[in-house]
Amino acid sequence: MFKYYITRFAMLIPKLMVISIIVFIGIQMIPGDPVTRTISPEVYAHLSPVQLNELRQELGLNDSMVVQYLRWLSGLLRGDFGYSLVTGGKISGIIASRLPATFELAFVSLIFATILGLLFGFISAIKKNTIIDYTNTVLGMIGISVPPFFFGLLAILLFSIYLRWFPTGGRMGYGHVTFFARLKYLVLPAFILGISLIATLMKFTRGSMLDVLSKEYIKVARSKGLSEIKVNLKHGFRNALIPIMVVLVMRIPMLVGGTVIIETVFNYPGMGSLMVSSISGSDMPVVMIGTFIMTSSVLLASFFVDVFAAIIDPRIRFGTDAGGGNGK
Amino acid sequence: MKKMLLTAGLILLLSLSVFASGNKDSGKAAGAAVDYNETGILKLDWHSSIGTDSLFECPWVSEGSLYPAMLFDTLLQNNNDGTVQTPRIATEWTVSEDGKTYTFTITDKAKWTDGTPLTIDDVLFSYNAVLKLPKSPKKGNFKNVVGAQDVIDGKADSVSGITVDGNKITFKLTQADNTVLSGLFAMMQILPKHLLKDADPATLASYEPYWTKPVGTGIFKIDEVSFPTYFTMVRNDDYFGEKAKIKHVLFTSHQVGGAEAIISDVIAGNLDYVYGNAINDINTAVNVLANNPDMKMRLFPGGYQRKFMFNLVGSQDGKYNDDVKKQEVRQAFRLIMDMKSFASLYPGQGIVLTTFVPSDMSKYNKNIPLFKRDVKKAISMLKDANFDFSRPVRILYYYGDQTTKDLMDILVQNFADAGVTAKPFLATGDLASIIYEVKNYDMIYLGGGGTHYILQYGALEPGSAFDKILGDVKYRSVYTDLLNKYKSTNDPAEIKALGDKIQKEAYNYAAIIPAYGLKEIVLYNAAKLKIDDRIFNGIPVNNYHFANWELVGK
Repeated sequence: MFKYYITRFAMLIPKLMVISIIVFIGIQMIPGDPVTRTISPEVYAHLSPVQLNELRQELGLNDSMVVQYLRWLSGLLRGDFGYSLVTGGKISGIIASRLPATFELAFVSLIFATILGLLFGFISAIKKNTIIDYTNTVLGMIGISVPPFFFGLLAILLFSIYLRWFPTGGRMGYGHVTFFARLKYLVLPAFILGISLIATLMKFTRGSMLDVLSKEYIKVARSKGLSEIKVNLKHGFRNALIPIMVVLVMRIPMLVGGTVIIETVFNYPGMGSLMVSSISGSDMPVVMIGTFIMTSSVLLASFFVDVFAAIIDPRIRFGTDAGGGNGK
Repeated sequence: MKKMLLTAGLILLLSLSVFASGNKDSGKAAGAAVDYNETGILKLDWHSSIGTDSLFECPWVSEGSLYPAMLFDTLLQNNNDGTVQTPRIATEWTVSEDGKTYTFTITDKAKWTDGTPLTIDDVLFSYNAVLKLPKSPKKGNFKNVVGAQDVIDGKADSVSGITVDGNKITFKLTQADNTVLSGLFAMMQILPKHLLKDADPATLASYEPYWTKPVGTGIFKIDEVSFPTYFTMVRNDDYFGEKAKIKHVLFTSHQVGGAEAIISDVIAGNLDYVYGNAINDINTAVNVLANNPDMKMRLFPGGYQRKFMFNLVGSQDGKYNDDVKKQEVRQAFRLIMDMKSFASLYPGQGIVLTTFVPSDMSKYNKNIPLFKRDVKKAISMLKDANFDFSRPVRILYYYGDQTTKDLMDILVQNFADAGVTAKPFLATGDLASIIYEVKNYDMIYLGGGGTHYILQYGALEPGSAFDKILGDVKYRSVYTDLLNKYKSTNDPAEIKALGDKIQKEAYNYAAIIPAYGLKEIVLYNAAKLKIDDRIFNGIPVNNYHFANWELVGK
């Protein structure tokens, strides 16, 4: 088993190398001059060709692409991410302030989504074909189909501007720096970010629960005279949870990706919004590092999905054909 | 099941009530003697052209934020109209008879907020270091300083025309220049040599040991910094000038959410004073006022203008319409475009322009007839100039807002009225390269300005990247001659005559056509903040008079 995990982890290294090459070449292929892209037309109007060349020299842009890549890669391995073309500051410093914010948002969102998705899915299953079930199903469809930025704007209007329950945006405010003080800044973006996951989890929980509740052992439990709540929770929900957890873990990378829009709507300074501003500001060194980190995170999450799947389903780690049994 | 639902509902309600409590008042009744200046916080937007992730913006590179005006000092202080200067770090100054030598005496009372006294070395250091920053627009103010160009070109380490004697610093100019007081000496922040001397001159603006928490001599000092979200300033009780009444200032970043986030926060009452691009459209500002009655709007002529500039050189793609090289064609285009409609897109804010100088100002050349659209005459002029009506005119613009798109729609119709096909297109991405190198356009719609309206004609002088668009450097040196004469005289009649001549020359040449001026907008919370009204006598950035700002409510 341990060998399986090591092998999966070792496979990450060539994947990361390929990603680094793709990211680097992809960015280099963007048309235009990396220097002029970051300078406003007004400032450019006052720069001489000599000064422009000095800027290029200083940023190492006059070297060949291979030299630039190797320099970038060696910096990456040493933890030296270079400097932002726009701010002039160290990219590592920028990432250090943005990455925890995104993880925090994604984590809180995951908690919200898990609790609510499981709860609503569970209720829908045990109240199958009732008004509650239909309502949940319709709400779930809305949650999946309506874009999150729309919910975000609506939430700001209602809860921040009219009711003034929550801040309009940001990650923290003056005097609100501890995690618990910052929670009020997280509620709206985390909930909105999680809406789609809530709907997905609700759908899967309902299906999985209904599947389990139709099994023979549930009928046996009922015939033994166990209370309905015990049958549903202890025998139904627990057994239904296993496939749901796989779905949940597999959705984590999508959650991180979803932060790009939500962070912008809620003025939340995380990696997603950093990527948006860096791309629009043509800050390519930041875009490169940001893309690399985001893709690496997804790769790492996929690794954990593999690990998790292997833990709950031994057929995977032994490479057995999935069609060989029901696994129960 | 009902119990479960009830419990879940209660938990949700409890959570909401806990989180929701933060934005409301604490509930304590305000006593009659509450001094809001001591207890309250002035809330401002932290705007920065370099983002708010890891460093403060260096005021030598960009002055987007209000913070430099609070943290740093200059030799002199402009009045809001930009014409009268008063002492600041310089206690007094003299100008030689020929107008070529300026000598300043430096105060011995100013201290950096780390406790170190400000010295003449800081001033000398600053006036040399700014020239070594590749992206500093302030270098333009040094044009007539002896030896400044050598430092810019890397041929010298220090400016030969700036010398120090005791606590006096002297600037020698190559020619008399009456604009240096308001520009070079009143708008150039002095930075601390002792904290920046180890920085690489070319990257001084991003020197981390300093720009993560800069030290100044100003009326406020930086207190707490939390990148990328906010920072606070507190009153500098050791300030050598008049001290501020307000004790605490909070700057909150809206870098991520942009204009929408700023507007949301203004409506929600989380910003007390806002200005700049986010609200500099009267339609947006009026919407904000409708949603937050505490906010008050002030408009002032900040000198900002939108213009059309012709590409007189050619394009890379070979589709250039070389008819725009003809002066008569450009003059005809001016008669085709409905500048009044353009200005009316900003009701109460837009100003119709004929030259760069607004027509209600004394500097306006009254011999130039005020703008009047005349399509018939334009068509006749175009025919006389053998204009090819079958070729489209490509117009580049780079503002993505809806009002600009509406303006372009009007423009297309305007040209269609004269039988000319206008093809506007929005440029995005590497703008500097698209505008100055690729140049696949015949006209460009751009913005810029300044309160010294005649000096805006400097855009026509040779020596900038505009050379790549306007060409004909030989002819354009006429503007250099005229502007040099304009800047070197103190005779009001001569100033007026030269200003008129420059306007007339540029009006006839028609390489840059002013479209409209835009008054600038400030919104502030009148229920909480009392600002010094003098800031609207010209432009606020010239002198914010922070010492007179007061918090009068929560």
